[in-house]
Amino acid sequence: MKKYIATIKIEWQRALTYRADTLGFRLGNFFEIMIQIVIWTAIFEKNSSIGGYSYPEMITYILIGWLISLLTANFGFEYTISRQIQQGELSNYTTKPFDYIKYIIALSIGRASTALAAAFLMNILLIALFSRYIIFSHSIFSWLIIISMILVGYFIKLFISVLTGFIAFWTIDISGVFYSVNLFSKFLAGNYFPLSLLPLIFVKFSFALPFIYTFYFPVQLYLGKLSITEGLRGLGIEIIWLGALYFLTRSLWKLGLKKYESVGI
Amino acid sequence: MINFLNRNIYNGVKKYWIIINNEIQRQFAYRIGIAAYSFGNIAEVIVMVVLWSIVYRNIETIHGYTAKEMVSYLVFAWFFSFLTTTYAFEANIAKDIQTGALNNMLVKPISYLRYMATVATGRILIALLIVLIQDILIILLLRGRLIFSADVSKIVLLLAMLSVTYLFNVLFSIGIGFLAFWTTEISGIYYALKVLRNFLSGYYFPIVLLPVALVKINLFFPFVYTAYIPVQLYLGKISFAEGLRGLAIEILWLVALYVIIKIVWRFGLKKYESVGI
Repeated sequence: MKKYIATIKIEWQRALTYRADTLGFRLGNFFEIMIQIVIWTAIFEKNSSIGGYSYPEMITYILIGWLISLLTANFGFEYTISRQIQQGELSNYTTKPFDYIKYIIALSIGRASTALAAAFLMNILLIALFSRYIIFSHSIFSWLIIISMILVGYFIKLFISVLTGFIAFWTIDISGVFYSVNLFSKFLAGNYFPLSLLPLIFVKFSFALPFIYTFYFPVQLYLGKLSITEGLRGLGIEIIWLGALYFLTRSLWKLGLKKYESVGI
Repeated sequence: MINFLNRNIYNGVKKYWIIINNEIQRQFAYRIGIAAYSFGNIAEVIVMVVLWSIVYRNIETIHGYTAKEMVSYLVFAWFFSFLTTTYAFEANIAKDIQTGALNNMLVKPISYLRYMATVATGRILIALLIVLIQDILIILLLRGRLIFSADVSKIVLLLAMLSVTYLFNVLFSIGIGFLAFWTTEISGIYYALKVLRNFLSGYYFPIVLLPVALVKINLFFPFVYTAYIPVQLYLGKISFAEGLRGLAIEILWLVALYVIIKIVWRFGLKKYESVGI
């Protein structure tokens, strides 16, 4: 256990050292949020309601949604994994008494905790800026479910990133795959716009996938557009996905390692 | 005499052709790489069109753009940007630097900058062909919602702008890749610069949606000329003369960027060689 805690501590030091990298992610997030706010502000100039959302609800959707999204983010972990595979750093961990999967969980927690603190601050700043429009929720049960979803959501996103990064075991040009996976994940999570704007069938379909629980679903719960019962059901589906993704990660890791070792590094 | 000239030009150009040819062959070998962008490519435009159709259900115009104009703007901005993208070429540059493969490049009889620019071009040629066919098919599919223009002189100017945009993007990618001379963790900075560039170039929305002051400031930077200005020209929202002016400013920025890259290269190389690989 101690070696994994050490891993986390090293990541804290690294984040403080590579400040520009962390700052880069924060700025990128900031611009992405501002882009959405600009677009929706322009749309709502002459309209009072779009798809059942008022302007304050939409601003709340963007800012609270992004806050939840950032709290569950791992900031390009698929790049870390793929680099470790492609540049042979993986060999360091397979030859030492490290469980690689436990190692990367510790690694990501270390990376994420510093980024999380910065992202949280940035988002609070934005919320303060737009406080005139934000809706504040008073339901304690909603908060509890949302916090649970955030915890589970972090690991779900982590495993999806790891699985995406594992592509590097089998191919060299990975940026295209990362781009498409990220695009789809964000779209299905409701990162770009509330999924309720789309046909109902589509929304029901997304409820069966894990992505939606890191943005759209918790925000809908926050805005009171979903009941507590529905919230609990969502949490249940999320936990099932967590198990499935963990299992998939372990299996693909075994397969990938065979390929890696057969190349003979 | 002519034979002599021909042979020299031929020999001068041959090495570039070989580089491009190699890249094309590599693309055939590693098919997944750039093909994976196709998914995202199509998904992006479909999501955009769907979203804006819903938004415009009860409205006539947003900031002077009708539904047709807005959808046209976004679809053509999307089309132009996929025609001029370098598909994360900065990752190739960064890898050369980080793995030390740069050493091999430095002893080649061609400047690294020219070499990589040629590699970048060879790399995207297949993708360009696929994207061209794919995107034209999609545009035809959406033709009911789009504005079409067949003004020849405008198209020629547009092609010139897009060519300059492509060269600008290649240099920009190389510049971002050069960050690897100074740090190993670059993904955060890539991300920020990419989003900023897309934001300022008017890729996500027409720049006029921003407050006037910001629009004015943006016109001093190069990015707006890579997407917003070409699309405005196409839609006829700016005149041919204004388009020419835009092209001229874009070319000036291209030259400026080239100078900056050369300087960064010199500093970066010093750092690289001092590490002593």
